[in-house]
Amino acid sequence: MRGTAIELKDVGLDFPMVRGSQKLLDVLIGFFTRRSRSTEPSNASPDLGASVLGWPAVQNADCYRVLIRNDDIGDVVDKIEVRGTRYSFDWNVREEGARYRYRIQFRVEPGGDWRDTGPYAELPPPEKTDSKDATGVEEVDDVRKRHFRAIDGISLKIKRGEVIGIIGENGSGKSTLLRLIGGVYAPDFGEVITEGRVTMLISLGAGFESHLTGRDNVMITGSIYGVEQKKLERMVPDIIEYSGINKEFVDQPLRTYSSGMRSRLGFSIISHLEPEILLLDEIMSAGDYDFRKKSEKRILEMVEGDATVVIVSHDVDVLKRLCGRVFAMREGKLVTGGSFEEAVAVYRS
Amino acid sequence: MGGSVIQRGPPPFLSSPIVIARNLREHRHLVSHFIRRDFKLKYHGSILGYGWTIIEPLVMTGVFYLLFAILSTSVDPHRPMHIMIGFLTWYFFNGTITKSTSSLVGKSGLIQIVYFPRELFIISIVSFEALTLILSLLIVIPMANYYDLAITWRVVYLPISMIGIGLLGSGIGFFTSILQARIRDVEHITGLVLKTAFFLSPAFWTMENVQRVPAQYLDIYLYANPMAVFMTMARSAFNGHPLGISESHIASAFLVSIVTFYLGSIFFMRNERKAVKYL
Repeated sequence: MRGTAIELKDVGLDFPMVRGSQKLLDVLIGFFTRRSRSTEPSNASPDLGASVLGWPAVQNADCYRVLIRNDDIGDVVDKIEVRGTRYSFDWNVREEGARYRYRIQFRVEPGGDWRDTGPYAELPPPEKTDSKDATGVEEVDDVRKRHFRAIDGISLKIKRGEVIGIIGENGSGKSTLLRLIGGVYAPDFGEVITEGRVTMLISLGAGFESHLTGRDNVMITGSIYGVEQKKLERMVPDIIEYSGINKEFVDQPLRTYSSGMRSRLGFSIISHLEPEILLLDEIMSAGDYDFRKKSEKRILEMVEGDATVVIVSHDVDVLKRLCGRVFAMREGKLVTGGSFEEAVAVYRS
Repeated sequence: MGGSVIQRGPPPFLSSPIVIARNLREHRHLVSHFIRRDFKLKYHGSILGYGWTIIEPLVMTGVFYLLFAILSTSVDPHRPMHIMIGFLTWYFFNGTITKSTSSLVGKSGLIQIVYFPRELFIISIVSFEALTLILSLLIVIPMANYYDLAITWRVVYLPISMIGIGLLGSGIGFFTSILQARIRDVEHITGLVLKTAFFLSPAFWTMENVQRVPAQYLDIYLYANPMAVFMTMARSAFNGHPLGISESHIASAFLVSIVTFYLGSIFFMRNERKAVKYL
């Protein structure tokens, strides 16, 4: 129970974005039709994004927008619809010296009436951005290379034996963070330090070959998960028994199995692992009602045991029950400090 | 038990082959499982099973033997055996590169859910292909018997040439597997290059067939195509004939293989992390 099991030091990961002009034909067409971009004088002003985080959340809101009002002329000068969790406002159109205020509106259905969420407020100063533009997309080479920052400077220390939950909407980078800790991705900057044997459970039946027998698949999957050969040989009968698969099926190719049997076998392998660091993408379970109960119980045992656990989940109840600290993720960042209530509030906003 | 200790410092550079060897030692059971799986998958559901390892080269040998009987005037009493050995060694080289090229992309599902050193894919492919070659070379033994060829000390050429082919093939595979993740054209390009190289290598012909070519061109050819050296060595292992290739050609062929493997391993270890993002 001592020491740090996982340490993330300002970790970041970029994903390459595939651009349209990938095909040779497109490149050729583009070569003849496009004017050289780099020679154009760049007078485009940076469109600075501002975050929606911390806004009052309105139930059933379909869409938000921001009204920008110039107090000196007493008129609304800009209406910006919010996309995702950010809006962008071109600060360069702002008149020097003029006072600006903003107000947030929402509407319940597309085409409906806009309603105010509150009175006008002082417009916050522009966010500091480096080379990144409003959408978090960094432009390296404006034609070919573009990167999407999937993980954006996360620092976190997880003590041995701690259970950490991560919540966030789809595409916020939760699973990528899990894979980063699990070693599938190496960070582009920062450092990921894990101490102990890491087992990452993202899907059941990883590496299953449908033409090999159940027994062969247990052996291969076990060794993929890093179980030592001798231990594995001893474990195989247990694994097969736990999965509850008929004796005559064990030496049949996996393609003869029902999908439920497959996932039971997959789960059974997982349940026999004894990881020191467990990375879970949702609480897994498999099979019919009985096996589902059994498998859920087993996963919870693993979580509540000595292992250090990181759970990525949408299930607020599970996170509340199991996790010491829960973080909300948004756009590749941890946006809350570890309290469950705060994380859920951000997640639901 | 279970799980693996993940230690990923900065990618190795000059020590890449050493790192690969260390990972291989640590994960040797996984590699042996991969090889066994490949064998089981190769023969699953087929009646002849292992027979196919021999039937295909046999048929190809027959075809090219007939072709030569019609087209060529030279007399080579051991031609069927020579063609056979040429094919089998070529299959080793060809299979290693082709399978390596699609290895990362083909196993993307696995790569994305569990970490183990990815170079193990290439290592298990080259080992699998080498074992296949050994198994199918068994057919050459009765052929050599039939020709009354005695075993000479030149038998050692066989493992030596296999090491050369394995290093060259996996070295190229290290490059193509990474590049294929990035640009999916690589598979087609390697396929095309290998088809061309097949005709340019002494697979269905031997170096004796090209004696009419001026010596200075043959000299350049043997430097340019290490496979010609390796295939001739493999043949010599069975027929006991002297190589007819100078030491400097042999040295050059091995140097090319070793350098290719070395550079390939560096390229792979340094780019594998980036390549995974494209899967």
